[in-house]
Amino acid sequence: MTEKENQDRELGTIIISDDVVADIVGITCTRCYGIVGMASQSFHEGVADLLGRDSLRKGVRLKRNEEEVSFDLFVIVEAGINITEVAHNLIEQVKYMVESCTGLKVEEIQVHVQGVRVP
Amino acid sequence: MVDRLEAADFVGLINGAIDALKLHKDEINSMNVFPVPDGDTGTNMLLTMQAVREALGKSNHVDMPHICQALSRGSLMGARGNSGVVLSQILKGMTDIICDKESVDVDAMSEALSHGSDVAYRAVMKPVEGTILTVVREASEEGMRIKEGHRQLEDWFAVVVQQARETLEHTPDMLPVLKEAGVVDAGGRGLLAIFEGILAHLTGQDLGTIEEEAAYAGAGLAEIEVEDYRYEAQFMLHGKDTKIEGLRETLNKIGGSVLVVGGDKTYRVHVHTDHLGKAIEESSKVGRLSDVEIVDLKLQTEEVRSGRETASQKAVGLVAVAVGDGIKEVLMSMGVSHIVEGGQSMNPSTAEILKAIKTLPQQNVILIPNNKNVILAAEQTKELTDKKITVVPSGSIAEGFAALIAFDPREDLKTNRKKMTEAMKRVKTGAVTVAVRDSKYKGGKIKKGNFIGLFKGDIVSAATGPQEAARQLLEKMISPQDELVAVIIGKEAQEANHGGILDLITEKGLEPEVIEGGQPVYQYIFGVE
Repeated sequence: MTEKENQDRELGTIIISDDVVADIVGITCTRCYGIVGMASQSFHEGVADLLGRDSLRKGVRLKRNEEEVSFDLFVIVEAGINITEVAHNLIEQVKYMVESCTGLKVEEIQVHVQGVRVP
Repeated sequence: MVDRLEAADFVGLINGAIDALKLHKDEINSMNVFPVPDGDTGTNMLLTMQAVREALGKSNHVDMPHICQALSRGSLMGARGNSGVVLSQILKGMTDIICDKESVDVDAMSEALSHGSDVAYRAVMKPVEGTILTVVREASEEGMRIKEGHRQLEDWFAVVVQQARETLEHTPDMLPVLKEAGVVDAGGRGLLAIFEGILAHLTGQDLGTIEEEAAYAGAGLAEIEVEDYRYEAQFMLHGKDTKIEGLRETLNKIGGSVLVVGGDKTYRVHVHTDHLGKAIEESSKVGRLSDVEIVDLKLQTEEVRSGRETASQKAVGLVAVAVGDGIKEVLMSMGVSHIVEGGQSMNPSTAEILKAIKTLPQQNVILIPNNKNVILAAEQTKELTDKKITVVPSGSIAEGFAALIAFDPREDLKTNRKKMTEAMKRVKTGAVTVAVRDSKYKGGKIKKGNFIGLFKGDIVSAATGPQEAARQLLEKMISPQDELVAVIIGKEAQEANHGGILDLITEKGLEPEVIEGGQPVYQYIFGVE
């Protein structure tokens, strides 16, 4: 709430790009317990993979509607872990991080578990 | 002196860990700020360990594989929250080492703890230091280092616990968010509590008295309404996915309570109708039918009336999440048929809500979560039952009450949801509680034990007495067009303060409506509309 007010202060507007929001989400995913990787979704990301570039935004798809934002997250979880609980924790953490860092409102987060990693 | 642990000894250790968590649960909840400050770490870790004990069962005959199975599977299935998931991985790693052993000595135990730490670290891309992970790692490293000099388990473990304690004290240096909040890591504190419980059991010390957990709330049964349609038809349908939506619409015209669930060319269809033939005929145009079941509902209703218990199909059942005896009583009187115990820092799981839904005779159920952290769990039940579920996303008990006033048992699910949600949105909720630790807010500093007013997720007032905190809070909440203030009095509120607070409201020209809620944590909850 305070962040939003700050954004509207006189002298100008702060615009946070979608890429920055996606990066915040990507970083949160790497720190979320139980998530061991992100899965490439787009052709674009696939090419980046082939080139050996590891993007923070990998596996993060974002839909933005002014002050509201929704995410699709494509993740890989550790085998032998409670997947629903991990996904639930991820949703909570992403929502919290995005809302507290950017002041945007998170409308929806879909977690797509694309694979499990067997150690 | 303990130099080896047999399988049966682990039962006592697990109980010791649970007892210690119970003792420290509230303290741990209050220091939970990372990764999301939701105040439930202690509860989550306790629930995870309790799942282990449940998996253990009541059997007296235990062997190591059975114990390990309970530890790893129980904690896996029952893992709650971030800390619970980490704990389940630690336990899983430990059981990998000890499951094929007859008994466990210092060597095996230090290897197990070390492997538990490794396994726990494996399940995250960038481990954050200054958390439960750091505590288990440094404790296990110390365990490995000193195992030669400490051959008795209790001696060895005493050193490990001491290391865990020291690491925990350093967590604020590793994780700035902890330092800002002036706390140590909650998950790490939970792990230390488990360690302390185990050590106390090994050495035969007493942990002190432990309060019993709140009992599960009783269920009521709602009245059964007369079914409007004559027949209920249920069948499996194998047909094109693209035609399903059309069929749903057609069935809705022919009858009611239409439910078409499934996917990938296989659907389960449920409909109530007076035109049985037509419903079947329309459905068979879409695909092949199988497992057709027909029930004459008139007959069924009569059977119910004559005393047999069968589900009513049209009536709407209400399930609410709440805590506090007074609140529960009021909810029941407003038509709620089942209450799931839960609230701030004690969120019920999807499974618990689902269980409540299943016990209701009604096919249509409205869920009233009364806490923003429960809304998601409530939403998830939709996927897991054939019943029609709708959630009125109330974020507080005051919103829940407002929604229930708008509930009309004669209306259907959709209309009720709309009316209830609208009513709910008209209410502003604020609460007075006690600060559990020193902190800051926009208006200045807060000391532990101060009374604070919460409104829209922010602390808006702080004072040494509840009356002053309530006064400042109400100033912020009330606007000129408001008329009514619901005052829900908590378990910990002092009667001497009630009068002053009610006077505050009448002085403002508003009408107070008092409910003896009996809820914990919040001394007063205000609903202004």
